[in-house]
Amino acid sequence: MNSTPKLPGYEDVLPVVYKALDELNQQRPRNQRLTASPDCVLFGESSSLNSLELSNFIVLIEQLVNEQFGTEIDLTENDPFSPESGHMRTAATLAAHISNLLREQA
Amino acid sequence: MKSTSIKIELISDFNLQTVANYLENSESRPEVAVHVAPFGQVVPTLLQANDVDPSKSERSAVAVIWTAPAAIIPAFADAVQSKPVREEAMLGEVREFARHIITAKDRFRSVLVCAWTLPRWQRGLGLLDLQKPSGLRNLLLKMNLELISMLQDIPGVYILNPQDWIEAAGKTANSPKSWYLTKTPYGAEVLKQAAVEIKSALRTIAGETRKLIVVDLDDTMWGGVVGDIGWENLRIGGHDHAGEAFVDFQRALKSLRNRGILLAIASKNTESVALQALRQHPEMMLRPEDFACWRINWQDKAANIIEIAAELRLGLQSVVFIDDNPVERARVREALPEVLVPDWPNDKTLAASSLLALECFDSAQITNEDQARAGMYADEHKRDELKSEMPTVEHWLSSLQTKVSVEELNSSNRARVAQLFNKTNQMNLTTRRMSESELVDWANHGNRKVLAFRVQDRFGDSGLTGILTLDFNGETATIADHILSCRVMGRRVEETMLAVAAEYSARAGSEKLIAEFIPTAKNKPCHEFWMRSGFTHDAAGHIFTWDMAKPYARPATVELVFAQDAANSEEKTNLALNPAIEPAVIS
Repeated sequence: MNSTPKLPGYEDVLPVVYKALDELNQQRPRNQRLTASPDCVLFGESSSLNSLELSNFIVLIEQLVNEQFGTEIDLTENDPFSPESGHMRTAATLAAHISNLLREQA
Repeated sequence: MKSTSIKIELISDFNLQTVANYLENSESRPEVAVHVAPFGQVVPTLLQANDVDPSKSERSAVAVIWTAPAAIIPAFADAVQSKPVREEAMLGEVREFARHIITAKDRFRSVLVCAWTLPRWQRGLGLLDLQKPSGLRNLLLKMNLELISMLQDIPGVYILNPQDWIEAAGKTANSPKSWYLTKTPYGAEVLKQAAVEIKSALRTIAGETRKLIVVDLDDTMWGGVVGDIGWENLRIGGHDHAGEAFVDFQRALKSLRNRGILLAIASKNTESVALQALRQHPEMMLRPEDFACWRINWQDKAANIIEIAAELRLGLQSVVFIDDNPVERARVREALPEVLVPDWPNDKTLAASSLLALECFDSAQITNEDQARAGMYADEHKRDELKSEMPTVEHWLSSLQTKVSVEELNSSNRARVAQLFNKTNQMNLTTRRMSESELVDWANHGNRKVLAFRVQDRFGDSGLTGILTLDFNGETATIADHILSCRVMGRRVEETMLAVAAEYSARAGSEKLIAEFIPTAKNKPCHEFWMRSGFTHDAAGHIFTWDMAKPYARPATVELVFAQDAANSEEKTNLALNPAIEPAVIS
């Protein structure tokens, strides 16, 4: 009996976000490295990422999502940095946003 | 920024801030402090560098120049747009760019120039791109060759190959998204690899090159345990994938030996059994004479490595240890942290590539001495044998028929002189490190001499193995550097160099000759020599003085000759007959 492949959910995507954070941390001083946790702030108030780091992070996570799930996503579409969307606010909001994108594209 | 950090200036027509971040935050040595020049301003930055008076600038920074070919060579930008391009005009633009680099070089300690690459998605003429003169890859090959030919002989300029970083990064290497978001055409993996290679280049330029591979035998050099199965049944060569891989590993070791890296064996075996395998197996690529020495016994390998390094007069920081056994590797790592012990693959087909991928054998110069080094150690064995047969050390020294030739710094020897400057630890008065161009600059300022010493004897030519630098200042002459390769220590070459220093100082009218010893963790042998040199010294044994009222005797067992210059090296004049020696001006 054939079964439909399970779509990647939040729990599947969060480790990919952490992996991108690990990679990004290599570009940052040891005492400024981000801790991989759901509430790690990526964008907005109290974020320590500058615009270059945030851009690098977006490229990194798009590549990792493609490698992990075989799907191309574009995190720069639909004004992801707007306060209304809040997609890029934390690791958790980003993982939820990516899992939604993956579902939409399935 | 720590004071010991190396300053790096990144010059590019795209954004290299991420490379700067990787460089500054990686834990690998050396520590660096990076300045990123405004991107897109390559030529103005180089021209600005030209405006700085080299004699007044610090020259402490290393420049890294990484450009996109279409951004820096207008004719190539036309080619990308499929416009007709005159090849000679395009190469003229390459030469102009190279001239900017050459002139700007005076401001920097070293310059690392990245060769040009194309992204994989840029297919140009596709099937015909490499073949047709108007193909982008065809043009790019010619541009890179022209750039390399312009820069290859410039001291302190090194060419890096980003194509390797791109291949290592895989399909995400070229990233249009990175370009549009950050004005960097590469993905993070390429930029990280660039930082790794730049640091590797800095270590190589600083002379941090390993000189000796100590290798295990059973299941490392060949398959099987020779003591159990006999040499006839070892897996080496033949119609066997593992046997072929062991042959290739030995071939790779031999290629490194031909480049001047010494080979030695540390193996838990019965010596006669192991040597029989090396001598008699028909498919063995390495024979006993390819090894500078060996310790084949049942002792602790760390202890054997210490003995091997001592016998070859090398520090443990020069040693790489290769062994298939993880327990032996862990033991040596723990006991001898200075020894590099690479992880070794269980899959024997990966052994040769694992060896050749090690960057620790990279060298900033390739000299005749490097290529002849393995043979020189064989000569050293003969000297030691003779020493054991002679009744006294003086008898032995006389029988060696040592000849020391002195020459001034010149264009043909300065690469080797710089190499010796940066690699010698044990017999080194001050352990001052200088690049080739810094050395030339130093020699050209004030009333100074840089003298190079070549040593040969009845057993062979040890090549250029000594450096003496002198700084004449009124009544005082200072020995700024007294450097001798450990290969020729103890043959009275050290004393001969001091005699030469005294003779030059006498001709310069100096009343005293002084030297300041700067201790390091490794130059104790140098201090021991100076304490018995005959020079008077202060209570701390750091300042050594010779009163020029009396001559410093040349050792009777050494013949000393002075080469007028390297270009006319056959015309050698005895120093005593050549009274008018003026300080050299190096061009």
